[in-house]
Amino acid sequence: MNKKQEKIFVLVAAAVVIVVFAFTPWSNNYFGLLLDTFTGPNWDEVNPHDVVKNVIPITLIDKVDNNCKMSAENLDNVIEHQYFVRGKEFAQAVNYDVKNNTIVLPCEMVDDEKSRLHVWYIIEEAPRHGGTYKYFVTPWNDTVP
Amino acid sequence: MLKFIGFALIFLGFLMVLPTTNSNTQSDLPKMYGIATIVLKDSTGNILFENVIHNQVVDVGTTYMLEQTFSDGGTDVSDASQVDTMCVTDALVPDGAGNDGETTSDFNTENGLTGNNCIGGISFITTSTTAGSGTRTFIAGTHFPDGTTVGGIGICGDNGALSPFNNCSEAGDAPLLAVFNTADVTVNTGESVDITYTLTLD
Repeated sequence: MNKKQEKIFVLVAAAVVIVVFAFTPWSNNYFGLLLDTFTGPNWDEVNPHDVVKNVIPITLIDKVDNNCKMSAENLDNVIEHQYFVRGKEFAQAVNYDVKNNTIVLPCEMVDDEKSRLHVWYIIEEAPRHGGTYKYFVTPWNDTVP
Repeated sequence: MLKFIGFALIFLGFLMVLPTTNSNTQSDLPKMYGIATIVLKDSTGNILFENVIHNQVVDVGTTYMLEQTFSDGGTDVSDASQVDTMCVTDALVPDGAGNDGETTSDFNTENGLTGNNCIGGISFITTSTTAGSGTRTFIAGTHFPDGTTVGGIGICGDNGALSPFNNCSEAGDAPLLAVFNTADVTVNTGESVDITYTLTLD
């Protein structure tokens, strides 16, 4: 290939990629899988069968700098469940103290002294995003699970 | 150099059209699923824990639903009783939640609770795509001893037993339909568990 042919080759290849990108639904191909690792799931579109949702009350105990230490009774029920394959990883992420039932969250996540900690995860057998989890905090008076 | 970029782009384009071996989309997936919501409350009604989790519809339950729906020349469902019962179990990992072959008898056998752990006679609320049990409340000291750890739920029939009672009916009624492996919830004195079951068929 001379330089001119190489340029044409690159331009044609780029055009092919753009066309495929624009017109091919890549949710079921390897490119989609690759993207999944960066983008994460759209939780609104995950089949409800594949998601386990948990909520526990959390109460502020102590605040040091930007770290809020919260009581988290019953979090062990969530972490130790057979379906939560990344439960230990989550426990580390929130600095779960199993002995005292406490966690440490960034204070910007917590608005009130008492709040609700939501822990959602996708079961391992799900066709996509198996094992993925997320957690977030809502006000205590938000009663929607 | 340029040609390598071209080959990389071709490879990327190939990846973008090459289907994965697991190509189920949401629309391809089975649209029948059961979901239970379990809410642990203290004696004053404060919520201590909530768990929303899916069920396993066992083979005998699937067969029952098909036979209830389709005429097949037999008398498979001779009893008019239908699924109307919710039982909690102290089995921490109920086998039926991972084993399609679980039967009513299996569920009852692995359940160590021997008192009033079932609520029957439930009138399900149906819509065009769902059947819901409404919220059923299991109280420590009434439906099971104080301090019991509930590990799962069974959905089944009651064979006319006066609620609350002990086991899923093993004869003359709907069989075990579905099993949940819930989070292990210990229900202490004065506490209760609200359970809501919804089966969706869409």
